[in-house]
Amino acid sequence: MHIKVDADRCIGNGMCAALAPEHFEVSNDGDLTVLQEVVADSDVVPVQGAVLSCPAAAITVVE
Amino acid sequence: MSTHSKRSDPIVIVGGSLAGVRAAQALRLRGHDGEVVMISDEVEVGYDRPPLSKAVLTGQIAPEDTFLVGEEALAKLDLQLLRGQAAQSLDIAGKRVHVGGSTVAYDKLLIATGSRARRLPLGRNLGNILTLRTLDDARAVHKLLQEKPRVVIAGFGFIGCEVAASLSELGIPVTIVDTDVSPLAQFGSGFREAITSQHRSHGVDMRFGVGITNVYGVRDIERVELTDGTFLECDLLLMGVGSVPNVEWLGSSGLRINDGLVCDATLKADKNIYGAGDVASWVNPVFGRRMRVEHWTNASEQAQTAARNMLASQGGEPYRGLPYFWSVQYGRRFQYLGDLVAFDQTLWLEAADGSSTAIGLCGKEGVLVGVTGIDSVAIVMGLRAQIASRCGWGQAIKLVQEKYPYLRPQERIQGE
Repeated sequence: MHIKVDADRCIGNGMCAALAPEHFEVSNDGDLTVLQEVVADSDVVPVQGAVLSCPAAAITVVE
Repeated sequence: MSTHSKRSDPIVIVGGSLAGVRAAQALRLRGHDGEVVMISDEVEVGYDRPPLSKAVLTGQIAPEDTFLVGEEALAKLDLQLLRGQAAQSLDIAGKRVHVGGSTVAYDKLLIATGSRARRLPLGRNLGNILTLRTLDDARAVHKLLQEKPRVVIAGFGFIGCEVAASLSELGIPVTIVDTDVSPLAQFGSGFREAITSQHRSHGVDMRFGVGITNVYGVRDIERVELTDGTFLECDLLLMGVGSVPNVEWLGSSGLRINDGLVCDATLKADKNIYGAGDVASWVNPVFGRRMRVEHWTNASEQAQTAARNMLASQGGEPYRGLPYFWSVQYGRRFQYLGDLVAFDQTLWLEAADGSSTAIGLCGKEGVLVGVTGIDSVAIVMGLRAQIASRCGWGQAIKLVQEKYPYLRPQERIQGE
C-alpha cells in the first residue's frame, strides 16, 4: 500500500504529521512533505488514523 | 468483532455528521460486519463543516465538494441509512430509538447528534438573519454574498472571524460586534492581538463591548441598532454566537444531561450507550477534568474511540485526545492545542527571523497544558507529546528554546 496526497486539498493543519510522523512532515507554513510513500503492514493503523483525521480529506491509501 | 453467535440487533448511530460517519468507518475498519443503522436528521449525510465558513463562501469549493465520504464510499460502508429523520426519543429499557412513527432496536447505541448554532432572539420575522452551521446555511449565505451586501456579524468567535476574513477576500465590507470588551481573551493576549490586528489591517470594523438591541426591516433585515445607540445599515446579519448540544430528544431517556450528554472517560453514557462529538461531555484523564469539545478533530477521534469501545467485549479505553482547533484567516494559520480553560501562566514567543511564526505556551499549576500558534504548524504539533505527558512548565520552555532558538519571548504583550 502507498500514500497519495491531493496537494490541492491539503490545508496543512498537521494532524497527519502528529499521528504518523514517519510518513508525513508539515512545515510551520503548512507545507506537507510525504517522507515515506510506502506503508508497511506495521504502519497501517497510524496511517489510517492520519487518513481519518485529515480535515481536508487530502490523504488516501491505495493498494 | 461481534461476539454474538446469534443474529443480534444492529449498532445504531444517531447523527450523520463527522462523528457519526467516522464511527461507522471505524466499525468497518475494525471488522465489524454486523448491521449498522445511521439515523440522520439531515438529508445530506457526511458533509464537512470547516470549509463552509472559508472556501465555500469565497467560492473556491462548491458545496458538493465538502463531503467527508462520497456516496460511493458511503454505500461501501453498508449502512442502513435513515436520512432526513430526526430521532425523537430513546427507550433505554426497551433498547430502542423512536424515529418518526417507528422504532429502531439496538444492541449498542452511539449518540452523535452534535450541536446546532445558537440564535439571538432577534428579528424572527425578518429575512437574511442567518447562522452558519449547515450546508444549507452556507448555500444561503453564499447566495446573498453575490449581491455584495452590507454585512454585520454578531460574535467575534472563530466562525465570525473566518467569515470576516472570507468576506474581506471578496471585497465585501463587514462589521463585527461582540458584547465582550475583549473577545478571544481566553486564548492569551498575544494570540488575541495577532488575530485582531489581522482583521484591523484588512479593514474589518470591529466593535467590542456592544451588543445588538434591535433589528429593523420590512421583509428582510435593513438595519441593526447597537447598545451604544449606533445604527448600522445591514443586508445580512450573521450570528456567530456559539452552539448548543442537541440533547432535547434524550430528555425522557433517563440519561444524565448536563451541558451535553454526560459520559465517563471511556465515552460510555450507560450500559450499551456511548457518546461522541460535540454532544458528549467526558472526563479527559490528561487534564483530570470534565470537558465538552466542539472541534473537528475531537469529533473524528472520539468517534473512533467510541467505536472501538463499543466492539470491546469488556471495559474500554479512555479517550485521551487533546482539544485541537485550527483556523485559517487571511492565509494565516491559527491553531491551538490542549486545555486552554483557566490557564494561570502564559509565555508568548515570536520569531526573530521576520516570519509571522509565533506561539503562546499556556501553563496551569506548573504544567504545560496548551499551546496557541500562528503559522507554527510544526511547532504546535511537535508539542503534543509534552502536553499529553504533562511536561513541567520550566522544562517546556527550555525545550522550546533549545529546539526553536529563533523564537524570542516577548516580555510585554501589547493589549488592546
